[in-house]
Amino acid sequence: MGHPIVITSGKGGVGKSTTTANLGTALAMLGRRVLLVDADIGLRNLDLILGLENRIVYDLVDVAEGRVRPEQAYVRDKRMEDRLFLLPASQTKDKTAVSPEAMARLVAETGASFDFVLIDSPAGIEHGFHTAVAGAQEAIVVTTPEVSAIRDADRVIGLLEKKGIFRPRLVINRIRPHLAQKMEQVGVEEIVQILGVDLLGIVPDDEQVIRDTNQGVPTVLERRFPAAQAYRNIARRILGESVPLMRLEETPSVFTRVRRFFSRR
Amino acid sequence: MAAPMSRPHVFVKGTEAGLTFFLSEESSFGELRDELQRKVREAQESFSSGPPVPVVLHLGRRRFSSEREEELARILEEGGYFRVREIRADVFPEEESAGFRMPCARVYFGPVRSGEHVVAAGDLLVVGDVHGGAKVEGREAVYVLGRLAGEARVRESTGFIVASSLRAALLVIGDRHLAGADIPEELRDLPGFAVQTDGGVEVFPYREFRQFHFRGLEGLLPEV
Repeated sequence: MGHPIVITSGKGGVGKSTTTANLGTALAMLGRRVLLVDADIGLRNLDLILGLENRIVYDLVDVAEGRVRPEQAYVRDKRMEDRLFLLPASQTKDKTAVSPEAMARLVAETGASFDFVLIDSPAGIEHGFHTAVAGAQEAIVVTTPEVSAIRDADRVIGLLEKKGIFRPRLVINRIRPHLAQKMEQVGVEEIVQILGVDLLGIVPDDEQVIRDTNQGVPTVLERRFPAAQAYRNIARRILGESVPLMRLEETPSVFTRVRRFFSRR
Repeated sequence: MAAPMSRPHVFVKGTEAGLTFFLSEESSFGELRDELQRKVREAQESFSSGPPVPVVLHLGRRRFSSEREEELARILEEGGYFRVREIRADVFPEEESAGFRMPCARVYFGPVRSGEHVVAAGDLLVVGDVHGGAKVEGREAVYVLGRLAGEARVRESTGFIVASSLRAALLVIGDRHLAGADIPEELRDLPGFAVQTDGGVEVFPYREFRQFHFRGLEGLLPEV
């Protein structure tokens, strides 16, 4: 059975769905068969980030209620041949439409055909969170370097531990190197120390991610951008490779170096 | 065959100082009351002359409510033949036992994460950090071997909170509290402790800990 991994955060807007889409795509690029499950019922958007919104026929609720088989609801990402599939959330139902027990059953049934099942959790710690977590054996907690996101991540890590998912791994998203250098943003080391979990990776704040998300293209497909490199690194770490953390210090532009040269004189 | 002899509910013993009425620990209050009334009536003939005889009422290893103890004393003093000198029991009164220090502390291996609430009936020792949004609570003492960033509370006003690194969001001792924003900047993120003083709850650097007298820590702290 494939690894069922829930991607969660507690706080909304930290990049759970973007991380799910990019890690799923990166794992598929590395040759693994991946199913992405959008567990954010009623607020579906993983399909938009993947550019698959116009190909949905059935959804998670249809599968959970037994109206269709899981394979009928899968949306295949043609860019990844037969390696990346999306099981979309329903947009017209609410979080209570799928019970934690039904989600656990569904993940157990579908997991056999995939190397990885990535479950995109909704924000919050209510029913939707418990449903998303129900089928998972591992967890990736996404946070940003903001105190509110860190506190919510802390809360979620505690809840995951109570559910028997120990040692969740951490992805720190939207790091701004210039703010971290000026000590205006919580540093990576401090976040890891506060939360006390293993760091899986860091993702720099990259405007390209916003552009790609709006166009339905996972950034990881655009190889030259720093965020794409970061997601590929994280995917390789999930596969057990030892990949050093990215250096996020910005290389000074030619103009900056010229200005520094004259200011020293 | 003779019926087995039942043990008396009330046993009377004479001493130089008077009489002691021992009450059986296995008897109900009704049984004790009825037998005490009977024994007092029987004894009246022997003690009808002279001043009232001093009496000790011994309850054994239990206590009754004050109303019931008064009722038993009234039965003894009916007729004016006996005067209850003392009601005695081989147990500590409730108010006295409440002052005993809990012999052990609850040890919790942290971190205590946001949203978690760890409570101890006695003292609490947290090995690890207490994160922002978390709450820890003990009776007289909370010890944090780590960074205290959340809320800490001790229920007794004589208690204290001590942490390796103190940046609490709220410190509560008894019915007084200190908001995190009011902890002096120069004491934050350092080893420190909080106690209740005349001015409310105050934080002090850890090096001053030994200068405070804390109940139950006698002999553990060096003399100053």
